[in-house]
Amino acid sequence: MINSYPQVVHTFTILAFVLGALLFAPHAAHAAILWDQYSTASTDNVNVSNDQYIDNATFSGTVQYIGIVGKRWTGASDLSTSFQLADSSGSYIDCQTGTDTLSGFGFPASSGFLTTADMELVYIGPFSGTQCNQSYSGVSGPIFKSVSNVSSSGAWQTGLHEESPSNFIAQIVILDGPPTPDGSCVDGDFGSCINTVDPANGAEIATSSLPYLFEVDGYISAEDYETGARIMIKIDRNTDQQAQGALIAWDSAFGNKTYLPLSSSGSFDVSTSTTAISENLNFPMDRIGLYRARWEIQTPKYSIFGFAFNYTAVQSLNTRFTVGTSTPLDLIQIDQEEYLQGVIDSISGDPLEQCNFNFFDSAFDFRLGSELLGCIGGMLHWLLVLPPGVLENTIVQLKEGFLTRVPWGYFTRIVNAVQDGSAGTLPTVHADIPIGGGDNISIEFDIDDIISGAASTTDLMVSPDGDTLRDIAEPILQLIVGLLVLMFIWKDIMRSV
Amino acid sequence: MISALFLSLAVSTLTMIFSFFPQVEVLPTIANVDLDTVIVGGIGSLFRLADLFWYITNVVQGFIYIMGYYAFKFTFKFLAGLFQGVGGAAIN
Repeated sequence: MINSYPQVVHTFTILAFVLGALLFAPHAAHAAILWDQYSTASTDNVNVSNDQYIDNATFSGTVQYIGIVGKRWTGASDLSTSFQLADSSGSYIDCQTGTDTLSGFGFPASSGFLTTADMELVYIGPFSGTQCNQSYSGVSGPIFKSVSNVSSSGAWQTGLHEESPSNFIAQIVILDGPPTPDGSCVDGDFGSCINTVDPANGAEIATSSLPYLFEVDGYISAEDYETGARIMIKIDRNTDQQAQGALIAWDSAFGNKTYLPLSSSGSFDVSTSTTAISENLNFPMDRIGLYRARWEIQTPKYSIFGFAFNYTAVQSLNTRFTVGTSTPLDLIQIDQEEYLQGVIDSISGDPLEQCNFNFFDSAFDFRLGSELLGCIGGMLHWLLVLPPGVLENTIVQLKEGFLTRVPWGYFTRIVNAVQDGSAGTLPTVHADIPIGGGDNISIEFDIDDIISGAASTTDLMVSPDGDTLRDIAEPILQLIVGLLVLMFIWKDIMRSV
Repeated sequence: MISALFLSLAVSTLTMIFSFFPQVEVLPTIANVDLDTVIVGGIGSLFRLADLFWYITNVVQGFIYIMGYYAFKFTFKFLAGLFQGVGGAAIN
């Protein structure tokens, strides 16, 4: 009892730490929506009021983030639309620069235009227009005006509520903090991120389209942009890497790279030019084969007197593409390299860290036994047990490369038809009955109608709660069937014993 | 990782070998009969019937459970019979 006292104290100490950590650990903050308004447009070709009045009385709190979503319907006439802050009388508010663009309001100037049909504009970012504070604190509140520019007339039109064009829908959200991530890089919910790259992973580039311009779009946070963020694109030819003894560790040692500057925070879409490729990237891509690309958003660690150095990647992406057509050997090589990359990634995991002790230093230490066993066990686990996702990827690979090929592909097709199948209609039966004289009576039986007409009677009886007979009876039937199955199995087991 | 390597090698080799075989997107048409349409339509009709006669579906489901039990039982007895010769217990 005396000996167990320190253990009890120790246990309570640990529990106190855990409880304290749970209570005082920083929790993920979810921004509250202070104000949210959709435009009333819900269908195409409807003239709607799209002025978004912000009434100070409708929300309270500190405005930190503003999100604007605009969508132009498919089929709309040529239209460019941006957002503009205006006061209640409709006059534009001079927030910062005095220009009629959103850049004065902290919005990237190039992101406010919907230039193609069905394009979606999304901007969610910090509210940087502190000069506008006096405006939105007004009693009647300012207006976010949707400003359209009809290309045919070339004149700015104010307010979609008053005149054409229509075909536009808008939503404005005001938050008191960073928005909850929804997985979209375009929104910048996760900070700086890469959205899409071109060529995409696995793309095949025809030799006729060379030289190829590399393009990347994504989002740069204001913080990263202020530190001097840039985009790095590095291209490498697979066989060149192997010639230098680098099967997959190509990203740090080899590659022809180029850097693309960013002009503003927010959404970006940058691409190389032919000049950039020939002068900086030095990458002719004149040989057919497998290539690899690495895309990075980089920020400098240090920046002194305008000189930035020691760039590190805040986000990176590895892709591969083929000039010409992929061969089976390319595919098997890719598979193996991806597998080996997984091996390298897992080396930094727990199993090897468990073996991070010096045998000679610990030779007379009683803890050596447990550490050694932990190390061996970890290594055996690491060697023999499949890492998460490997089995799943292997099954997908097996299904795509083997089970969909002749002859197994026929069975796979049937299995897929069963998996993806949905209830159709029963076939109709058509009968021609000869009545003499060369005439027929045609009779058509709609089996679906015949059967469902009878079967649907079970669904005609509806309870006061709106439940059909099936909703009520099916759980009872399943329970009875389940009990009968259990009884049958139990009886069979008892008979065998 | 060793197991993953062997698995990956086996699947990659199979994939490479069968990459020379044509990929099956749909079932073929034989004697002017589009088998893919017939199979997909037939499966859709089966789903429709299962939707209409849901109570029979539940009974069939119970029957499948019993069949699964028998499959497990016979497999167990088969394996037990294999090990009986090397000192395993006899299970009837």
